[in-house]
Amino acid sequence: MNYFQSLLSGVSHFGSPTTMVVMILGTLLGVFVGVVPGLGGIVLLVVLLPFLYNVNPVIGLALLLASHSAIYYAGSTTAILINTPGAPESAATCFDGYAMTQKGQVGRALGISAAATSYGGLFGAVAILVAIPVMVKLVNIFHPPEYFFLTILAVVLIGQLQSGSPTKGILSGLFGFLLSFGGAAASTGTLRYTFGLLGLYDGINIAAAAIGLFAISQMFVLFAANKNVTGRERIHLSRKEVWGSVGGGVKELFQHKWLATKSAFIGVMCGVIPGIGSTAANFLSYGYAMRSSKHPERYGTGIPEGIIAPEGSSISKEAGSLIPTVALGVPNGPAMAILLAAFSILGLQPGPSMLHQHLPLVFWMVAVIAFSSILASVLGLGLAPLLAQITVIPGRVLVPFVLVLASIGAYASTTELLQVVVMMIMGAVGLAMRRHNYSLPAVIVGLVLGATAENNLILTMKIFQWRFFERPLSDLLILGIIAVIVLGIRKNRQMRKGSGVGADGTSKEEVKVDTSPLPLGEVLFDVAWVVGAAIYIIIGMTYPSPASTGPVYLGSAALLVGILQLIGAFVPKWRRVTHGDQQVHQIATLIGKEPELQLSGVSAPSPSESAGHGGVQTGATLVEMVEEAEEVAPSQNAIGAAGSAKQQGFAVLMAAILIGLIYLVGYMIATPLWTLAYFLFVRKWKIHLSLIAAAAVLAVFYLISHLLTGVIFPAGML
Amino acid sequence: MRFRFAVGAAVASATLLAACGSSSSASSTATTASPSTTSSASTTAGSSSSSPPNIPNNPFAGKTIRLISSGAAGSTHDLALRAAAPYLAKYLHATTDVVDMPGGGQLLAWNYISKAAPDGLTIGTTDIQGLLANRWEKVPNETPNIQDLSYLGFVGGGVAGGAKVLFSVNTNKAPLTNIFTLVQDHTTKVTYLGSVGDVSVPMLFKIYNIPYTALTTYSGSLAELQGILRGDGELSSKTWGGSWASFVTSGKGKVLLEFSMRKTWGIDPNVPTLDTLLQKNPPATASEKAALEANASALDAGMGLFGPAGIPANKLAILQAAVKWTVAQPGFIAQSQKSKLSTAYESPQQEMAAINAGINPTTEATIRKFVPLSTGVAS
Repeated sequence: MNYFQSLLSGVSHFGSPTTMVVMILGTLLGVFVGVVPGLGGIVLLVVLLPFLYNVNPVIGLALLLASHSAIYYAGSTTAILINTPGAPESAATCFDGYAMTQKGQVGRALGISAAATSYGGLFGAVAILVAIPVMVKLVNIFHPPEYFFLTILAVVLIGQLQSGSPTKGILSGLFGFLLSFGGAAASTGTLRYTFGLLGLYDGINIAAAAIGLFAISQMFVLFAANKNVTGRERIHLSRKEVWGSVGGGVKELFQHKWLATKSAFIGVMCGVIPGIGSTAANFLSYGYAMRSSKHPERYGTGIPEGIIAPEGSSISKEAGSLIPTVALGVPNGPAMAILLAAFSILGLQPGPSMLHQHLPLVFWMVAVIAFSSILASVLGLGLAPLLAQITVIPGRVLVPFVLVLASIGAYASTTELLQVVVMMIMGAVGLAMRRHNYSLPAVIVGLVLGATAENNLILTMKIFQWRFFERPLSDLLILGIIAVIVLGIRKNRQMRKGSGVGADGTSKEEVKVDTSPLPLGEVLFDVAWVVGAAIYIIIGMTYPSPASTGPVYLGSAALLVGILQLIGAFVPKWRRVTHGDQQVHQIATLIGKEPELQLSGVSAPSPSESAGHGGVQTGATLVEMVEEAEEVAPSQNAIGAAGSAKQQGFAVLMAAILIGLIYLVGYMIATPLWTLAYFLFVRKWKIHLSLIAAAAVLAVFYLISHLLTGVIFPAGML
Repeated sequence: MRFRFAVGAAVASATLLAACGSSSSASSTATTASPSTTSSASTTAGSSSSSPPNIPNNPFAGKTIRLISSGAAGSTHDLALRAAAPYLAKYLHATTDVVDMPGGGQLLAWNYISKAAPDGLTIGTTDIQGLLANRWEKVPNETPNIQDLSYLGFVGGGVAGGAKVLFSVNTNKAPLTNIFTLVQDHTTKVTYLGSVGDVSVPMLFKIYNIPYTALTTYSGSLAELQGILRGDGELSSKTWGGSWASFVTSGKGKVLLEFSMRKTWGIDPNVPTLDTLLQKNPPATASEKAALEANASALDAGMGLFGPAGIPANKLAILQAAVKWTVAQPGFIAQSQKSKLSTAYESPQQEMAAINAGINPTTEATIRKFVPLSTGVAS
């Protein structure tokens, strides 16, 4: 099938009513979840992962990418309405978007945002169409050594992007690799790290691990939250006001078409070039627009250019990220890491087979991103008044629903209760990693690419031995890995200076070596890495070669980096490389934002500023009930919402109780019973409201179990 | 401890990929075919099938039969069961539920079925060679006493872990274009790209003294094909179809051998089967010949339906008849072809014969000698 046949074949899926319904459903999910504080797009993506087991790739990718694209528009909506970006990528939109809202031009701001987002999506799609023929040629020159080093580069890159220090980034990726070696070895069939448990013969399920690391750990944080994350008053918007501004928004986009095009181009390039985060793309675009403007002083006062620039780059950046993800299996951000996991679940292999065997699917993905960016804008505008109401629902109210949904999903994807336990354990691990500023996306990338890394390492050793050094492309990739690590160390130093905050409170000019002792928890975590890696290697050495290759080689790498990390805990001079800036990262983690957003020196205006600018309150029964039950206090400090370690520990215990109940009495009884107890005793809701919540959970279970008729949910030991 | 990646898993993923173009979801279905009930699935079945014979004192009438697929949704096992479900329901006047239970290299499903009550209401798919390979390799938690399970017959014939062919790249080297030359050459060292646990080819090479290196670490069939095309090795064995068939028809590759005791795939009639090879070039010992035959027969048996040990004879006979009738239905065949599955019927007796041949102590001992070769540990 040639290029144009593949293109037509890919686009032809629009003709299927099923795919259209799924896309609309995915977009709606993205729009709604995107505006709920504390949940976020990644949580939605990982919760959807288990459901991909039951669908073909066309449907699965449509669901995932549509919801992912919609998240960006939803994130901008909250940035404009309440000055809080629904996703870190929308932070730059706050400046002029919210300023317009304050000037009473909320409809205009939403209209411009919708038009710019749609334009960015279309531009990104065209960029991929142009890039695909180049990608097809490029991937053919890769051999096993290149694939091995590429996987290493992928985890190192994403680790540097999303963690508190270079060593933590690398350790996160290596942790993912080591997790991936569980189960039957692809090289020999040897059962590794299964401890005789049949449920682990296939290794750790990617969906269960992703849900645990991202969604469950996030739920633990929300669970422990005492106060409303974003506390604010509700905003009243009329449909007439919103829709009346759409035409104006499109018109203003055309008036600034070159800015929109340049912004979209910046977005695509940031997506293609590994190592630049989504948030950076938006700020780069915003900064470029400001610098190239004749009136830079007007930025931040509510001008269209200030919305077009960041919004034009948001989805185009994601479209650009598809290029390295699909062609090379190198994701450029958490969402692409999850997409990589989805590929694995759907039986798709990034790289040559994807571009040769499944090119129509690649075109389909491009089409979904382009179409759903427009669809999200249209639906988002239509639903803006409702979305404005939803933004006040505290994320923690949804905690039991997400936990129950996740536990059902994890079971449905594996039909093994053990994997639900794995999911919860990964949730606890994810929580600990969040607290210590490790990179969760790097773990997932390592988990997904672990088998590829190991297989290609073995093939390299068998086919090329040390002659892989004679291959220029391999050498280039090795140099790339070294460069990324070196740049990561430099970036870390610069950030530390740029943050202007030393651990001892010194100012920007006075940054010195941090000699204060590290918290005990941090040191214990470092010790755990070293001990864990050592035990892992010892067990790995008992397997026959080549099944021992991955565990021993990459386990040794983990041990080495772990030792460096541990040394850094005691040698202050090393600490910049090993532990980064504790204060800045811990604050960033506590408020539930990606560290890079905080470290870029820009944060959304204080939530407290948003209070009082919301406009008129209207009555939405559900929202009022939730508010009444939760006694939502407006204008709470965001950091106060994170809760203490003790509270988070209690959250983990509650989740363990849920699993225990499922084991004992099965899903049908355990899930509503646990929800009832949660609201009644933990949230102190009134009995009738708690019963309604429990009934809602039961309804969710009933619905899902009927959708998944091919899954037998266990009835429990009792 | 080794663990066999059931060959069916690779085939399943290939089928899943082949089904990518389809926009229909592989979601589960429950089919009811009691005389008083009409469902869309049973209507479909009825429109392209003959009427089943009346079953006096039908013990399954009005009951729900769970059809356990040892593969995931969209896998070969799942697709085959969904194709069969409405016809089994119609024959038995029962309701059939397809339940996917992937995991543990199919052991999760197989062990679930083998431990179910022997009432005939829980049956499912297996591949005969997979059951035997787990035993040969002494996989922990392997399905016990496979000779006692209730075999029902099914589509067989090279489906899901079934008969394969030996592919080679299209070169001018004589041993790589003709299996008879290869087995007599003994000097040309070949590199073989294989699947873990697939003892077939390494056993053949060792018995015929063909020097080879095994590479068994490719992540799936397509990755192996890519490896072949970029020159990592020269040989591989896979089921016929999809990209591998294109590999041959486009002139890039060649089929050396149908690894089967019979012609299964309708490939070029000049391509010899294993049976032909064994007749023309018999191995040095009878036990080696028996080992190759037993393994190939197990591959030929392909995918079977089975239930736990101890299903009463009357119920077993009805279930076996229902399976035989189902496989003959034009609607089932059409649906299977749509899902790219072959539909040759395999009787319970043939399945049992393959099992018994595989557990013959002498044969089993011979095969176990070659098992380490299938893991790439030895080369």
